[in-house]
Amino acid sequence: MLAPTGSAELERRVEHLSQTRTETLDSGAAEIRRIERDLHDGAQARLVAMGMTLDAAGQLIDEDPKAARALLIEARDSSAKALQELRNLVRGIHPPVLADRGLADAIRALALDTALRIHLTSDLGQQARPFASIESAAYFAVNELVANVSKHAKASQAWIDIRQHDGMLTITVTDDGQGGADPGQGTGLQGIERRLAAFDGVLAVSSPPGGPTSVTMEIPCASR
Amino acid sequence: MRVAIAEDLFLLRDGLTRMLEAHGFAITAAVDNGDALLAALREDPPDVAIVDVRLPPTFTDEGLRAALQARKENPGLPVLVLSQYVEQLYARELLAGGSGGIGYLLKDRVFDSAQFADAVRRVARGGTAMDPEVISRLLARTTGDGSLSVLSPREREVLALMAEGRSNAAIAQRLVVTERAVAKHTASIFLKLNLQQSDDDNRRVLAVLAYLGG
Repeated sequence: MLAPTGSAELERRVEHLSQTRTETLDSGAAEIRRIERDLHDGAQARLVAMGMTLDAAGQLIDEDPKAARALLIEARDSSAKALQELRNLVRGIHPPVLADRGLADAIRALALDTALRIHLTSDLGQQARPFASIESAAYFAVNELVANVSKHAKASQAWIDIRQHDGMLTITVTDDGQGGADPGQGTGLQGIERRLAAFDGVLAVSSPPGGPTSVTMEIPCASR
Repeated sequence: MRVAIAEDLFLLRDGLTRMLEAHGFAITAAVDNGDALLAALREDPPDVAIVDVRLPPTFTDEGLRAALQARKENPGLPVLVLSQYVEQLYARELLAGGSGGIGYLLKDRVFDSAQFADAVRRVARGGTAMDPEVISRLLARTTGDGSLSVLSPREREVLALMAEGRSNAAIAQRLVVTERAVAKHTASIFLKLNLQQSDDDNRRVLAVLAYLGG
């Protein structure tokens, strides 16, 4: 028999799990819809246009080689644009450096693409990489936090610290901005919190008026 | 000029081979993985190696690591790395040695075969060929912190083309101005950014990239 406190605890746990499961499935489905739409309106549409342009070029090639040549160049440019769109889409789904090298280098690459001066420290020990789903959630959370700092904090520098110890991935993002970030306001921080909850991860924000702002995320991580 | 190619997708490997042959290159080896590339480079060193970043067996950055390894075994071996995407992190790793003979380009750049062949030759001769996308992202970052605000818009354009590894003659052709005009711009850029002026094209590029990367 479970003690009353134990059973209340279990009930809470079940409620939490079913809540986060629904949210995770919903956001996964929304994400797939977004990808489908991006492909449909982007690369797919460009490939259709390219096929038509190439066909027109083929019909013109004997009687008007100059016009055919112009169409061929147009088709080539369309294929370059389609590639660019696919690249951007892939970056949003699973950034190449994350796939190649894991979390620390992916965040290093992110830092190099940001105008903020970012100081990165990482201590992932000798442990195996976390599951891909956790790496990805952590990466996109950091990505969003860095975007927030760039947009809202009036900060010039940020510090990111990543460590993995005893089955816990801890990431802290601190900036030298104006502070006053309120997790209750706006959906950015809440969105991150919701996505981390699917992994039993938590997010804590300290942002007194005048700064600095420090956001800490903790995600339990089984290794792959 | 002799070229070794490492690219795992048959269509692209075959396309690259034919395109380079059409531009007068001789292909010493066309392989589909990093180990085979390293073996081919040891056996018959080419003037330049063209390497896809993502290769089997890991399908991560195998090709990049093979390229760095090849340069360690054979310092100064010209290497042109091709990828479906470009990352500043990888550009830095490739440039970290501080010597020339490095290229890092998006695969799309093969669409303009004449320009691509030109980039291959430039790298083979110890020059640099950085993708315009790497450079524009480097510039965006440096512009963000204000250190390029001393340059005129035209000078920034020249700086970007210089960072890609282009000579004054190539920059002049691209901007439809005289070489003298380009030389004036580059002198002004080096003065304003407090960089050591150099007649050596390659040292000049590396100085600019170091400035932007710092």
